[in-house]
Amino acid sequence: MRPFEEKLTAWFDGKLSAEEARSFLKDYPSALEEKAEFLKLRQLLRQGLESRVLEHPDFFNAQIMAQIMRESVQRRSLRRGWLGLPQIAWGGVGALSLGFAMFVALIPHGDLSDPRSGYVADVLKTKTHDPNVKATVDNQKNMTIIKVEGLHKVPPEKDLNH
Amino acid sequence: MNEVETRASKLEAGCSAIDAGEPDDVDLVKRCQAGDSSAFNDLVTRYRGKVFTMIYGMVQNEQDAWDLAQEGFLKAWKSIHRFKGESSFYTWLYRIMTNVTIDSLRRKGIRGEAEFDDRIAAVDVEPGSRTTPSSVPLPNKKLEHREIRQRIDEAIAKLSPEHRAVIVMKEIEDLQYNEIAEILSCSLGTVMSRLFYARKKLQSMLKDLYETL
Repeated sequence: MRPFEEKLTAWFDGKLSAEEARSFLKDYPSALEEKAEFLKLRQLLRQGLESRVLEHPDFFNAQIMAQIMRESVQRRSLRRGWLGLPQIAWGGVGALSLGFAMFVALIPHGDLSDPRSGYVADVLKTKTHDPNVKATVDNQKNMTIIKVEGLHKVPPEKDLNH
Repeated sequence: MNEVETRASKLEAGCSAIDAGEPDDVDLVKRCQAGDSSAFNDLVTRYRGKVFTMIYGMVQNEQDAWDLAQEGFLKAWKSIHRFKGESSFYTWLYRIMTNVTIDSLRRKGIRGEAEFDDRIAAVDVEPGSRTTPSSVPLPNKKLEHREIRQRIDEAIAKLSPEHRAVIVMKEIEDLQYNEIAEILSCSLGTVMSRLFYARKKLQSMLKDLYETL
């Protein structure tokens, strides 16, 4: 069951059914008088408050739209800022790749620790392609002896006696 | 017909197909959700008068009402992508506006006078009690409109933010109980109870005024 104040309010605002309203008025006959007062109050409130009109309505809109535009621009620039980080990262990766490519292309490679090794390798390359063939270098006074071991035979094109 | 009255009659039409040829709220909201700020401008135009009147009724200060209405519309724009159409747009908008206004009043420490607080009302107010005239002397000439408004403003200023909200929404906006309950996120019983005590208090403060009109 609804408390009195809820019933009275509902009755004022026409929210009670006919039967509920009859029953309510039977219990509280003074409610009729109260309703008359309440209607005067409602009229006063509507008269006093409804007359309040928004002045300069176009300026009101303009301010809101300007604020929306400002925030939209800020959001976009913020988003651009965030997108700049991956761009920087990709740029870094690109620069490293380029540096590596230049290193591979321009810097000479091979075992440069002992010039003789290169010389021996050249001799072997000239004499044979067999990886089992070995060469040793023996530095003597006024001469260098290169011994080549493992050759089965001297290839015809390398045979100086041929 | 001024702007407020125009808006009121449009609201009574259910906010659908506001005028022949004008897009309804649903269309405008969809365009807003797609990022069309000009559609939001149309919604602001449609509701600014009602919203301003409602907020002014609660804060009784034009500058505050202007600022709060702007704040409310900006909040609505920012959260419009969350609007799912479960309630009408204006109910959703009013909820934002009411929350913004009540928060502002609370920040200013406005709580209303305790004697009509819902929680203790049963102790302080006899349900069948008659309203008593204010101690303010009866005017012997018709009050100017400005004075009437000032008296109403003063009376409403003595209500709690929640009581102000129900009075404005019911007496000025003529919203239904269920709409008010939805906007304020409370039960129907609470809406009726708040209306009862808010009206009682206003009657006690304004009786001399409405008796002379």
